[in-house]
Amino acid sequence: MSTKPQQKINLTHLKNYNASYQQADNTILINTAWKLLEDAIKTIHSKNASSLSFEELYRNAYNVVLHKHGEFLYNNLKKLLDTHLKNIAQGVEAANDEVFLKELNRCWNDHKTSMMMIRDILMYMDRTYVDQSKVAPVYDLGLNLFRDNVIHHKQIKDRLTNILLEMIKKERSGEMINRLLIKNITQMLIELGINSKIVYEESFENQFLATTAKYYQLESQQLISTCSCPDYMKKVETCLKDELERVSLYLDGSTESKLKEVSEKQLISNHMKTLVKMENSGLISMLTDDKIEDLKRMYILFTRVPDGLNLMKDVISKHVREIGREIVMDEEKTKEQGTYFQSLLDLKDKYDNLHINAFFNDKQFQHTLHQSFEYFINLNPKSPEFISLFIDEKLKKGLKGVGEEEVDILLDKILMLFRFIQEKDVFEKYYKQHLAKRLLLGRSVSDDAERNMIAKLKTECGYQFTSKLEGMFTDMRLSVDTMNGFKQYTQTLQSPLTFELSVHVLTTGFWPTQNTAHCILPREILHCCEAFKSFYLSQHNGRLVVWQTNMGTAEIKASFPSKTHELQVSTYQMVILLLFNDTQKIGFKEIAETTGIPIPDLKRNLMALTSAKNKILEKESESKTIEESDVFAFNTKFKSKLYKVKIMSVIQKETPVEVSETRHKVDEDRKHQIEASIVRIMKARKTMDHSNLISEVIKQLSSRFVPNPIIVKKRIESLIEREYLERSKQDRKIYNYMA
Amino acid sequence: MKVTIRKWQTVSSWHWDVSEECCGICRMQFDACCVDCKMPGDDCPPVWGACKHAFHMHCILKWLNSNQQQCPMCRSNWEFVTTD
Repeated sequence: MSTKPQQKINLTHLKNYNASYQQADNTILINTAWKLLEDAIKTIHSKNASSLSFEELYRNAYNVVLHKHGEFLYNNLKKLLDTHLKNIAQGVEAANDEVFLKELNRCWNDHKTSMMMIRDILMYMDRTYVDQSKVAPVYDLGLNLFRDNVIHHKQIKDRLTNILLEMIKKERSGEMINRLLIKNITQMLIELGINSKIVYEESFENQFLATTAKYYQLESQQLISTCSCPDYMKKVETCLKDELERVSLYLDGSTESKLKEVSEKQLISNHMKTLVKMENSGLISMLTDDKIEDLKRMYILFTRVPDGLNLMKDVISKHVREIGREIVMDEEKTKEQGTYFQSLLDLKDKYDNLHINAFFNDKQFQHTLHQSFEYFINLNPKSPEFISLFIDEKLKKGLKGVGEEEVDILLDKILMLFRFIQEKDVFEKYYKQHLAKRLLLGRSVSDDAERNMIAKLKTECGYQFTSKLEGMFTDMRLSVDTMNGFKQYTQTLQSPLTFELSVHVLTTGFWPTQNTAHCILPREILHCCEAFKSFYLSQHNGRLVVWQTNMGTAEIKASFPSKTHELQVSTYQMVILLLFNDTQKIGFKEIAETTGIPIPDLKRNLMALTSAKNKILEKESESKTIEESDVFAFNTKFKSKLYKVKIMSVIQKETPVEVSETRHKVDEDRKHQIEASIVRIMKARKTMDHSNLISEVIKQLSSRFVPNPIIVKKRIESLIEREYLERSKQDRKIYNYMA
Repeated sequence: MKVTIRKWQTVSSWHWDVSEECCGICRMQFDACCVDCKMPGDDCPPVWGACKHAFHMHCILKWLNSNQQQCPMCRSNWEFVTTD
């Protein structure tokens, strides 16, 4: 038991002895080993590595590290490399500018090769010592030392950057340079950064970007003062392409985005406004001249920079608004509704074309264009009427001989513009009037086109919008059936009709009929009318029939001394002419009294009958207008080459009174619609505050018209008065629905 | 001088022979149609009760079918009156 500690002490002694012995032995051993390695490394540096034995060197390095002398080896290696690289730096420094980069590149390549060999020899150190003591691996040590001694050398650092920049400058001005060499050098800078790009950035990129900015600043200023906008853009395109190529050829990929930003800022952002506003070649003249390629170029270039497209959009919007405003406010054009609308369609076509072909269908651009169109179309309060008139014209004659597809395309285009109209209810009023005329006078060219248009309006504005219009078509169809029945019925009559009677029976409410305008029909006509009435009422219970004498046409036979003619006249004209069967001369007042035709209509129709072209009636006075004192007689000298003579009715232009009447009707209709909308909303929500209610009403009605908030407020007040709504007792801005 | 008519193409409009402006149930004008119809016609004429109140036919039928037997305006017992 007692001997055991004794033994232990002895053992420690022995160990210590062994260690000190080994230590002395090792120092010699390690120094020898290092001497061997040092020589080998020097041999490697002088490129004679083939004479070395890898196995021997590796073993020696292994032994050194194994005997815990890694630090010794590492530090010695560092010293050795340091000295070696200082020499190298001197060599590089001594090279003149022309061979400077080449020399540097050569040294770099040599260094890399030797470092790889050294790394292989010292691999065991990398695995153990380097790992444990967290120092840079051998190869990276070589890189760091190269960076500190060569690249960061006082005489080399700035020179390197300057020479690189100088070469790039040469290339920008069109000279050939050794791209491969630059690529190698930039690659070197990247590699020296080990996992980071800091060396590349510090020694090259930062300065490169700064010079690029300066270069393009000068270049662009010079270009913009000498070039037109398209030329400038072409040049910029090339510059940007070249820079991109530069990156792919000899710079690091990470530079691309930065270089792009810098050059785009100088070339595009800084000159954006000047470019757009350039006289005779800027954005506006490109738009005017449909320069699709240039616009495309501008779009592509401006997409690259922040706010570029916004600037373009603003300018386009302003321009379109101006052009549109000129069209809708042009008095000449608004007089001829056809050209007015055609110009708008052309404008729309033009910008649709540009939008698709030059602006890549950009949604934002489309939105801008739509807003601009909406803005100016609604500037002219007559736009809804003009659209309807334009359609009227097309459906009357404009579509003759045009294929179905083309009609469809045209109608779609018109509809595009129609969408921009805010007062769709006004349009409906006019459309109804025009459609009525087309249907009753048989002026429509194609029933298909008519129905197509209605279908389109229906999809656009909903069933309510077109239900009355559709009803008009139904009435036309029913009238045909009624007339067939009436023909059979007349054959059973005891006293046959003296002339052919055909009647369109319209449903009141669908058509723009007037209940006030009726004239006194002569007895012979009344007889026929009664026959029809009794036939019609026998088929339909509980109805009343009113004759719309302000519409309708007649063919009458008139025998003049020279010849008999067939006259095509309006109902009023027929009634007037019939008077002359009994008397030779009749005064205006008498005509008015016996016929009961409203005075303005009477004047219009007498004008037509006394016009120079077809002078059926003679007027005693010479005045051009019809006076109440005028006396009329049959023109016995009437002559015409044609047997059938059509009396053109004087075109009824909407008189100011009628315009304001239409307006009034529209306003009345709106009141009802606003109230209906308020009640609908309040019924659903029960309570709502004032501003929300108003905005909801406007939203609901916007497909038909844009209600004025003041009018909406009035309607709310009226509904409160009639106890549909009440103001909340707590908050007067809140309304409650009263069931 | 003699003028004779050969052909007259004319236009007339019809509306219901009713003095009230709108139906007491749907509040739509008689010249317009009830909410279920697309266009006014013999399918849905105005009808009168013994109390002389007029409604669209569809409207009053709906009312009567929901087990109400009084006029919706005056609550007197409903009886159809024919116009002829």
